[in-house]
Amino acid sequence: MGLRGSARRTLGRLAAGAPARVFPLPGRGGGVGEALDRLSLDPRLRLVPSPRSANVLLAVGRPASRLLRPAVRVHDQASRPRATVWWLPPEEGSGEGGDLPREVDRLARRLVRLLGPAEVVRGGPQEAAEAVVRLHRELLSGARESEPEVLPDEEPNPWRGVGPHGQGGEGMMGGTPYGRPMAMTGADLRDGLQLDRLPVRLGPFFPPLPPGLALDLELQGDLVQEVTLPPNPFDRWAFQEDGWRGDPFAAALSEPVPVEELERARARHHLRWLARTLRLHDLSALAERSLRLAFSAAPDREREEAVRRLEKLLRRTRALRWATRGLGCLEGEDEVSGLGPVARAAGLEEDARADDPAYRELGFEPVVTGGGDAWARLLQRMREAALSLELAARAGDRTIGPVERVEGPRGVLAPGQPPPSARLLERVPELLPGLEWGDALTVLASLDLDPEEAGRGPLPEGSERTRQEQGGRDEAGSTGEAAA
Amino acid sequence: MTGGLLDGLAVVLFVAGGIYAAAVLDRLFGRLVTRRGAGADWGTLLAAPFREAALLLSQQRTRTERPDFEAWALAPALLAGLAMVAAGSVPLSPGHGFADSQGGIVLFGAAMALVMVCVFLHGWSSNSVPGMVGGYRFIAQALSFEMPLALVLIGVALPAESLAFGDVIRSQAGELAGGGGTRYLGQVGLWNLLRQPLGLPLYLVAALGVSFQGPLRIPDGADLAGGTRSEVSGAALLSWRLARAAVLVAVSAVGAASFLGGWSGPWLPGAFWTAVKTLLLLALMVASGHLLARLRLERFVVVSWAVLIPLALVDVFVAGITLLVEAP
Repeated sequence: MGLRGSARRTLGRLAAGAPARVFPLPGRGGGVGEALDRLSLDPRLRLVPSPRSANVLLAVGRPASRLLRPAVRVHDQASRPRATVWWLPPEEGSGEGGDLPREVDRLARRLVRLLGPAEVVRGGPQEAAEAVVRLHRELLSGARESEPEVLPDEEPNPWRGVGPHGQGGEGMMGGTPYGRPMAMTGADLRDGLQLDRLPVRLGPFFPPLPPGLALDLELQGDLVQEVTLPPNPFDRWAFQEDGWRGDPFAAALSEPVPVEELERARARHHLRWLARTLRLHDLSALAERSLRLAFSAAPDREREEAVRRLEKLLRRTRALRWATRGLGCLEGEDEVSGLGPVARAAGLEEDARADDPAYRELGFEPVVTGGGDAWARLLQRMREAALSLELAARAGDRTIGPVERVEGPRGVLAPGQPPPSARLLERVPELLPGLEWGDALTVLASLDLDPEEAGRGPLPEGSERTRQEQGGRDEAGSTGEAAA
Repeated sequence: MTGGLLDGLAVVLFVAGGIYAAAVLDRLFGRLVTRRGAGADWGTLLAAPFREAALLLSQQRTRTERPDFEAWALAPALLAGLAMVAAGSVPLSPGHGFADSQGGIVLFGAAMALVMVCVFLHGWSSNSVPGMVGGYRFIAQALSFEMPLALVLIGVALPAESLAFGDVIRSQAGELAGGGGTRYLGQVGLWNLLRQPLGLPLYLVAALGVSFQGPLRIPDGADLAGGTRSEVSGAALLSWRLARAAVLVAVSAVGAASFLGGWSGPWLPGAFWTAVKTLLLLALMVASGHLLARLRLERFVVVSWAVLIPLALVDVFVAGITLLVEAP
């Protein structure tokens, strides 16, 4: 065994005590984001920002076929020893783990076989964490072999340069010669100067972006010149009602839902959004605090106090204000009407909850922040979270619904209307050009986009929804329960 | 004065201890800010940096397409070397400076200016977009804080009438390098924190900048998914993180020497006081990362050139004027 062997064993034992480094690959399913957030609170593992520093890849939920190829590329970027875990959290409204996908197409099935997850886990965050930690230990101790690369390690097109580092050669400006995007001179936005523009794709699993969102940017330096959105990977959602089932806000369109539950879900949503935004601004400890508040079982009054204290802390330490003030201004009534917190942050006093008798009994008044920029939206969502918790504490047995319009956490949900995320996604290509990379991501984060919600399509009409709900309820026992 | 091998070893141990302390403080402040029950688990907290280092060592390095291998390997090594040069220029206790030469301040300034090269190389060598953007960002950031850094250090050197850190420390105790008595108001034996109140805040901003820590963690920011370190893993990532922590310790030590009186303190040996003051500045800088969001680069550049440099000039002028007035 000798010195080297015993040193390696000690190293392995020490390393096994450190939190496992996991890179998440979120898939389809409304509860995927929440399940991942719960998992991230487990101290035995840590979600890392780059696949290169991860050993375990965690694919969550059902794969969208357009995300499988990027997932395979991310898999090959993870550092060895690596392994993949496929986690299927319990689907909302069904109470049991979903089956492996049957509707994926032939190519996707082949890639699934290639990616070959080491383990498939069904269950809650606890089971998933245990599986990840166990796999991680096996990798470190050598009990499990590292997964090989899936894609061949050869250049798709041989580089045809002249010099020793592959530089030089002709005809290599602009476009994608030999499969690689090259910079091409183009007029700069601000003054028309001819500078290099590089086409860059920020892929669907880029951590600062919402899961599933990809952007095709034309960058000059780090300034965004042009943005195009590739097709939404969650777009071909075969079963529309499947997407909205289990969403408590959509459920309020067709049946009574307790106000307490609705407001708690709203507060949870906003606090999870806050955690993502704070992580983007390198405030990971405060992000964890926000996430713990989101899932805490403490009484609503205490949580409301804690949210207000967090808001005061963020306002006093002015750095976050400096980082978000004046970015991504969205004002104007016809632009933002119906977009929930975005509208109220722009100064519009509209809230579908104000029309409902149950809320009027509770003395509900919409919270409005002026300004319309990213900072206003941040304050707005924090204040709405605090207000929601206060309403939940006082709500008692009151219920809301069935109503024609329901105020969801991102905006108004009404039958036949596109979801708020779809409207916001359309605004992205005009909001980002001219911003620096960091500012562009700040603006995107402040909009609270969700490609998955945008891909669900318009909500089904009222009566049709009730019929589907009846069918769903008979099957699964109880619907309209948010994953708590 | 410069010292021998033992002094060099002392500097290495000091920096190593500082790196460990920075790691523990980072986790401690993280727990405090998260309100997760700070006092619960000291054993885990103290062992965590070693565990994480072991984990990084057990990861294998990844390769990107056609990186610049030499520059990629050079960057962390050069950064660590520069940190050691900076740390060596500060004497840890009276008479035991490893490189406490006559031009200590200039040596420190030169070392910190070259950090720009290291970070840029680290980002650029991986041949990927986030790294390159991170590298370019650091050049803008570094060019912005270099001037205030140089100016406040000049302000600190003025009362000491010398560019050696040992003399700067002694001047804060009211002694002059040449041995003569102090004549001027600006040479009264006070810490520079009190004699030149603008100095330490400006120095801390520059220190945060050069170690890209906290609100100035711009080249390695979360919006670039790690920036210059987004394509690094394994031992390379560990060496980069260690080197960066070494820079943090070095600038804390220099700050403690320049503004908090270095080794001077009652009853206990000088090395102890150096360590305490360094730890204080270290804690301040590490804590700032948990409470302050990352600044926008454009904003920082504008503020640095338009506000910080004039303030630093005011600091130098005040220091100079107090050296024209006789002490009472």
